[in-house]
Amino acid sequence: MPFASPRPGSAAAGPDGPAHPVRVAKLALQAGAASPVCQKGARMDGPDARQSATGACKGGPGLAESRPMLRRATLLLLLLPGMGLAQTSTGTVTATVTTQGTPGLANRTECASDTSVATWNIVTQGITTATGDKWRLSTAASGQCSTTVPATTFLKDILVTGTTQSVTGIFVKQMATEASVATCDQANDVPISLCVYYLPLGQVPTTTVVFTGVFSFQLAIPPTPVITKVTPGDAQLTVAVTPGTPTATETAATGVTYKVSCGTSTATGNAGNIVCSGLTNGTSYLVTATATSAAGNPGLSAASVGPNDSTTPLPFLSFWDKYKSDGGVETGGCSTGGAGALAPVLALLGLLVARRRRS
Amino acid sequence: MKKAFLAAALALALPAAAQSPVLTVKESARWGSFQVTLSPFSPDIDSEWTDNRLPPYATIFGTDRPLMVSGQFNMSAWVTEFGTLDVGAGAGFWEAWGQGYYVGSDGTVIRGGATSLMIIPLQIQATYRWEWFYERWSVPLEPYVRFAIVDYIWSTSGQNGVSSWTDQQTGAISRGSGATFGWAGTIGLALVLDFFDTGLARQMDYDVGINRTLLIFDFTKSSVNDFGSKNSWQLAPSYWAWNIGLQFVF
Repeated sequence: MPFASPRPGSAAAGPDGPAHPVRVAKLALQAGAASPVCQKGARMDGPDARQSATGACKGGPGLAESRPMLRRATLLLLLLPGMGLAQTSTGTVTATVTTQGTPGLANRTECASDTSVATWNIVTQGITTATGDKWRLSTAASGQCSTTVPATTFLKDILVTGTTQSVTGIFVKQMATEASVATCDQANDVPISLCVYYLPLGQVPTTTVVFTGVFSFQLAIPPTPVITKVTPGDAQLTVAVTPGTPTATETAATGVTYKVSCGTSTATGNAGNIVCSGLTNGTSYLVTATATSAAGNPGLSAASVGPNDSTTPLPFLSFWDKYKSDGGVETGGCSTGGAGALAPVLALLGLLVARRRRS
Repeated sequence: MKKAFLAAALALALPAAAQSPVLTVKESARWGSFQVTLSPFSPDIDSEWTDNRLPPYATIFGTDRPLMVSGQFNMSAWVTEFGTLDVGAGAGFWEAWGQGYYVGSDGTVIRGGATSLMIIPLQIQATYRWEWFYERWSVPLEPYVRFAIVDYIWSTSGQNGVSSWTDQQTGAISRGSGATFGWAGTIGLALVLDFFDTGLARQMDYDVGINRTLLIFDFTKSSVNDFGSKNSWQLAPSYWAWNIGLQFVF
């Protein structure tokens, strides 16, 4: 959400009036845009206007212009250190867990894993970086990125290499811990904020510049499914699976898929009929069903069915089997005998018609 | 008084007559026809069994006669004052679904599971239609006869696609699909619908080139067993099959 640029020649107050001593440029969630704010009226989009390591914004030659209005404005900025000058800058921060591959989410397993890592992608515009600048990566409860640069509790400091940068090897478990995710097996999903602080020359500035994004720990598990019917087929079992009823601890209800196990054979699908195939006719199987949330969290297994007659695949007699086993004479394939002579006759007729048309 | 009334009536009628659309365009030349028909159909596969046990087709599919849908396209080969000889080709679709059997480990059988027989009938045919009654006497009936050489492309399916059967003694595999040739003779009667609204019929000819629209009803006797091959089943009905449909002459 970019801030509006100030009118030329106007006082350096931002659109919100006199700025707070420390301003945080809050980005739109998920793919939010950032508006970093530089204190004391320095420009943030030129090499001479980059915020200094001490937090004072360098005044470049542009500030020494001779126009009286601009000089007055500069003086005003020096006298009123609390005023901020808004700049139009945008940015996005996203994180993708390596094992899942879907940006912006982690499941229970990834949340609890000591080895699961994520890659953060930082994209900014309207900010000029230089050698020695750093990003400080941190997480916080949803919408709670700190208005001050965290001094001790952060994930990582990384040298800025450009306005678009990927940072790999961020431990997902650490992201959860810093964002105060209590446990990885709680009933509901936990959204958090990704916070990327800009540290000019690696130093904490007086004016906080932070880019934020969102991330979700999808921890809910789906309700336990119900097997309503098992129908035997020819080397297969058709298992009717219906979704369970959500409870306080089983809340994931959308995007749920189901895995049916018939002995060692498995099949997955949506609620409804799921077919276990490749089974042995005459063998009874134990049939179970498990639901998995969209994020990949498995729920509890449904009560198993079998082994019994209904979970025993049986040889199937189709119409053709019945016809042949009853002694039917048809052998299938293309016709023989008298019909075999028909094809040349038809071809000859076609040829005659074609010759007549040409003549 | 009487003259004045007649004059007034004429004055009112003339503008209306002037507005009514009267097509004076000549009927377009006829060169062919297209027809679609529906027919209850049941192949006489069970004719191979003459003993008292329930034969396979009736066991699986019962005695219903699912509808066969077919279409024919004809070219007028010989047009005379008495009628028209058309030659053409046709195709259709028919399918029956029934329940198969599961065989338990103890040999008991349980009905269940879907199985089907599907037929795509193809044919080439010659049709002669007597138009003399309608052309000469304005009687809206046109009798016709047709003879066709047919090829029924068929396929049976079980639970895993096209059926296949293995002879336990010889090991020979019979695949449940193929094609069977035969013949069909038809006798029918067409009702000329143009008779009931000649204005609309002329407009239809003018707009889309359809000279005549016929409601057709006929009976067909056929034999589809590869012309008597001993290795073929009978895919034609045992009865004179009736058909109903529409024919468009253009």
